[in-house]
Amino acid sequence: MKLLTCPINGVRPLSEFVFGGELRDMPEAECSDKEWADYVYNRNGAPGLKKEWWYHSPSGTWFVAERDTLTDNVARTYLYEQEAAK
Amino acid sequence: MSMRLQNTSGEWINRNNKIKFSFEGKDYEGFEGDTISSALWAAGEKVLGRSFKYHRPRGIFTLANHDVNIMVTDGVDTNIRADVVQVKAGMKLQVVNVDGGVMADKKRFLDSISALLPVGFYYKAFHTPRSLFPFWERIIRNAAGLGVVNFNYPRILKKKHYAHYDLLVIGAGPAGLSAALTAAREGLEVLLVDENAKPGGSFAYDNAGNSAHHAQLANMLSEAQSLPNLTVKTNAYAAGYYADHLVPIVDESGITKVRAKAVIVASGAFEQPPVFRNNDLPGVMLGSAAQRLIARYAVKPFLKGVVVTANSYGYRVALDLIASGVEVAAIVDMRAGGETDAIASVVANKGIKIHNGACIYEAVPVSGKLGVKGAIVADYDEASAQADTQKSIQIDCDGIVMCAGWAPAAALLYQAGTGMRYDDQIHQFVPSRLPNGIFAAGKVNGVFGLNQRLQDGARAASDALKYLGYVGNDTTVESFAGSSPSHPYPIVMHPKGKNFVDFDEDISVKDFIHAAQEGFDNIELMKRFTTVGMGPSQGKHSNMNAIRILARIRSLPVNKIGTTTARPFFHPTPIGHLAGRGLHPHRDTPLHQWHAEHGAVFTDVGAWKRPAYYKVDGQTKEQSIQNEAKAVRSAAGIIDVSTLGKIEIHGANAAEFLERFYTGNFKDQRVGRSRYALMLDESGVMVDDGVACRIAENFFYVTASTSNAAAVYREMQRWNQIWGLNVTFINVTGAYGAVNIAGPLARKVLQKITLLDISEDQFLLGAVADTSIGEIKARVIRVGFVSNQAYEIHVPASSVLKLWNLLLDSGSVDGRVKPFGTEAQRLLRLEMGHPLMGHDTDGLTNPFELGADWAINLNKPFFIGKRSLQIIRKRPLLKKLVAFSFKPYFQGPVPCECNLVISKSGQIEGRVTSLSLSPTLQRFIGFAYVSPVNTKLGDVLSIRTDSGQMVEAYVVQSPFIEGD
Amino acid sequence: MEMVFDRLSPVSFAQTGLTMKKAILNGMEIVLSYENTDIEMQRMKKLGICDVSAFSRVGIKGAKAVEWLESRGFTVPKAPNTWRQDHAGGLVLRLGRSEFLLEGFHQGQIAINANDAPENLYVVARYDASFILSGVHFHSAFSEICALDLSESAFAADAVLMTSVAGVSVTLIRQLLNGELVYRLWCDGSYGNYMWSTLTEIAGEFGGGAIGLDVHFKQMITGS
Repeated sequence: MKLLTCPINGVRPLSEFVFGGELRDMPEAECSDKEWADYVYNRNGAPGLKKEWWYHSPSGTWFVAERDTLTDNVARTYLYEQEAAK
Repeated sequence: MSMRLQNTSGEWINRNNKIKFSFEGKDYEGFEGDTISSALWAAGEKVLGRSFKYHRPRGIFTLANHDVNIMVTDGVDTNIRADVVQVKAGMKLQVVNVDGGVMADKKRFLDSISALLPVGFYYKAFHTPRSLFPFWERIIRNAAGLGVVNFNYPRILKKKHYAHYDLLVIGAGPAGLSAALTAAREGLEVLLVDENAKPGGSFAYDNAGNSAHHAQLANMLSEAQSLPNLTVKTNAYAAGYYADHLVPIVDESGITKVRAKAVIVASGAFEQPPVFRNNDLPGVMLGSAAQRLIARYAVKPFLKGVVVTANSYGYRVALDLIASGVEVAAIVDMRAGGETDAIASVVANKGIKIHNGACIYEAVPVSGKLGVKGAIVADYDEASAQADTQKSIQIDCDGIVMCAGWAPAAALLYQAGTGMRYDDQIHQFVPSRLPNGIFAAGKVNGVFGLNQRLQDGARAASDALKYLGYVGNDTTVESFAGSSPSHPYPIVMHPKGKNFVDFDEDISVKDFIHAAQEGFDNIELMKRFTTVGMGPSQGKHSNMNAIRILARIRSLPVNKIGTTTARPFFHPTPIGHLAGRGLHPHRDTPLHQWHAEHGAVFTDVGAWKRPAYYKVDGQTKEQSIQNEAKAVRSAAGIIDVSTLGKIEIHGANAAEFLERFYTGNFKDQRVGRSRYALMLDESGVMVDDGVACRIAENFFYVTASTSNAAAVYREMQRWNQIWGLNVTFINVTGAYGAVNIAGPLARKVLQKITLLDISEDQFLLGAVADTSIGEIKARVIRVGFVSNQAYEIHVPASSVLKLWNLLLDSGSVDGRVKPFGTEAQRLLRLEMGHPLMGHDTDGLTNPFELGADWAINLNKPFFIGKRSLQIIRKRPLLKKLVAFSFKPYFQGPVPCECNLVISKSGQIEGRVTSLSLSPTLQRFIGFAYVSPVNTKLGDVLSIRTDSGQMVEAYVVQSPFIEGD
Repeated sequence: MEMVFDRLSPVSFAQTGLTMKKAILNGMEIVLSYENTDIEMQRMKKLGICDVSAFSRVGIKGAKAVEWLESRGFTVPKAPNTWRQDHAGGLVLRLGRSEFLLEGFHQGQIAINANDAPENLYVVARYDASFILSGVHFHSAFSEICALDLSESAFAADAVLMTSVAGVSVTLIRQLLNGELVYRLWCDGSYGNYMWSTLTEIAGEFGGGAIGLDVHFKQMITGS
């Protein structure tokens, strides 16, 4: 099974992780109903590099993975706050 | 007569150990190391099985586990593959899928009516008249199976282990051995696996009458044994390829889940049959099968045989046949130009007649098709695939060896994502784009010739070493000068058919033509319509010919036809192996032993075991549950709620966090008070609920439902990653346990054991306080779930049992504190009018449908789901949850939860979500979704019961009772 | 009803019916021995499972945790997911970046006063099931229930692994105890019965099994 690298705990099998959905920016509260519905219900299915939330269950660590959804190759993983700080 | 040969160099059998066994009721004797098939063949038996559909007699064909001509049962196990399973003393074997024994199989008549059973016939027959289908179904089910399952099969533990290596090499033939040694010499931890009983592969049996190369093999094997970092595992196959080089290796004892840093696939190739009429008779076999019979088991394949070949391999096999004493009557070379390599002369010099540009038009059967008595040889036109029957001769023989080429055993390469291309020179698919860390060597890589394969193995190991950051040598692989190892179209047409392509499924050439005529002319459709490759061999001996035939039908090159996807497992893998030990993690509350000792019947809630109810002698389950509920209503009951989610939220922004996470208000919540906490998802759907207690200004203690506890904690952590508030979360779900005491005597019982003043006016509904009970530090929350007089007491997990016993002791004075389980709890909360998340709500329920408006503050700047609620609120409500009841002496069939509510116009209006018999009210009560226009007291609900009968209930006030 | 112990062991249900010589440590039952010394020594050498759930533990979490622990005289492991032994022989595990588990034999070994804690530093309430695993068959047994490479080259002497064993989230370290290599495992107490049963069942297949505290910590509990 696939291996994923938790930025804190290292390489682990996928079964130790929980997928948290794509990392997406929430639209402003003043957005139209249509824009909000699009955010809530629609996802971009086109293949490409996606930022995803992943959670390492045994340690309770959330992090972000950049994964190419066509090749299933994870380019890198990092803590959300480390990117936000940049 | 015995077909056993004299001592053969390198044979696998141990002649000192005779093995007695029986087959089809007759006794036989083989040697240790024989497979079932080789022992029987040595004894002169040839009819060892019957084909799946037409029940044609079958014998040895691939002898490589690439066909299932010969499958037997020993009474315990079934579908035993006789070609590769070693014979054991005392085995009592019967052939599967026969009626009356393999020689006199009563179903053999099916062969003569085969015209009525073309491919796909079952799609067209049997469906009318419909009344007859059950009759046909029984017959088809009986006919369509192979072995019979033994339901008394014992459970034998087959462990699954993980193992870690630097390099995994699959296949211990010349390429694989060479690769493994090259890598191991550089210090890598290497695992070399081979599905056969001994390593070496064709190195040991493809001799062409000459065993000089065996010395080299012996040296390599000896070196392999001497290297401590090289592990060789035989009788083990690589079942499939999974992400990041996870390859399960299956052997008799279980599965080893190998994680490697690099993988070399040196799995070789499946020899492919030429296709001609009656190519499936017992005595007709592949060249490599004959070689294995001779070299491994010292068994003569037949007395006098014809070799039909479409490549040079047939000549090598011919030399092995001659060396073992077989009379080779002729070589039939399907190629117009014949064989140009020197080996043809070697064969000719032994006095063997070679017919070039010829084919076997048909194999001539003995009576009953129980074997071969001759071969009709005719001129062959490769372009049209037709034989010239004007000029044909019959050669007498009792066996035929057939060679046409190879299909790469590339399943694991495909699964790893390898891009393959069709090589027009060698007429074989070969890897063209390998994923990172995957390497191919030998025949699977399109490399033929012994030296070339040895070099290719070293080259692959070198590539792997470089990939892993080591220094690798540059190895050149000399090119192969011979004729193409595979023939592009080794098919001989015949008007009477029975020229088999897939021996598992009894599919011949015309079946493909018919399928294409019906429009199933793309490889995926053709596979499924004809079932080619769908039998137990999964296309190992048939897929390549099928592709070639389809290509010719479509007039397309092979590379435009494509291949179907070879999925795990490479060989059928027993379910017991996949199950392994069967680990079922579960969580117990600290009261588990107490519950078990007091008759608890447990239910699974997620990973937790919870008492559903306590069994009482002489009472039914329903009665016990009713009595538990009655005890709560009349005195007091206690329930173990240790499984609840419990999360501490600390920090200056704790209240702010809760305001954003849940729908209600928390900033103005006073210390010492608890509030309902409702959680939505971003679409406004209710996800979980619990209670938030403010223990201090910057400290909230929040509960969540048992099944969602982990998810709620996770989401809290994730949202705060985004919000960056000053909060710290601590998941104390397992660190604390909790007990609810409820009922009119609850306060009295609890007050006796705590100094906390819980009198009615001092400790109102919703109050929370930290105190002591006995010497136990406890947090007491006044809740109102199953009763208005109820207290939820949270204590450290190690102290729950003590608390439980203190409550029982305190209540024993009045003699009426009883434990109750989740079933009674569900009933009690229903009486109290409380909807249960996940029971009365589903994945789409929004809070308005539940009437939970009171728990939502839409004036807050933000909470999860707020924006969606604003949109939902603008739309008309589609359904609403109401409390309903039946009349007191209701007689009709009682509906079930999930029965539908049907509107007057016959549409689905809603459904029943909760239903219980209330012991307090002596009536059936429940919750249901109805149209918003039917929610007034007294409005009628028409509920459709399981039998179809309609019953009527009516909307009543909620809660159903006061619950003191 | 009188109870000898104050705090319930997380493996007590799984141990029902075993013959045990027990003691009370930190208010909780702990088994000193199941069988005679020879048998237990054999088990220890093959694959011994020793329950130490009753050891004293404190969890600390917060941005100021390192500072505060050092001020209290603890030598704090520098890197996340590492551990060290403290001056009194107890363990200090750094779980991730800012959470710590301190473990000692007796309550007194961990002199932490929670009320002493400054702002943004919190006590993490814990209820652990914890075991010491010893013996030559450890790797064979764990290769069935853990996907990680636990060989010495892959599992550093001071590493704290947070992973999954037998389907349960655990914390794992390896340690030299009385000169022998042992492994320490912690999991949530609610999984204690399951983990104990699973480990002892597998250990039994290797000729190992349950061993009491006395094997590793001879006579450390007086008056037992």
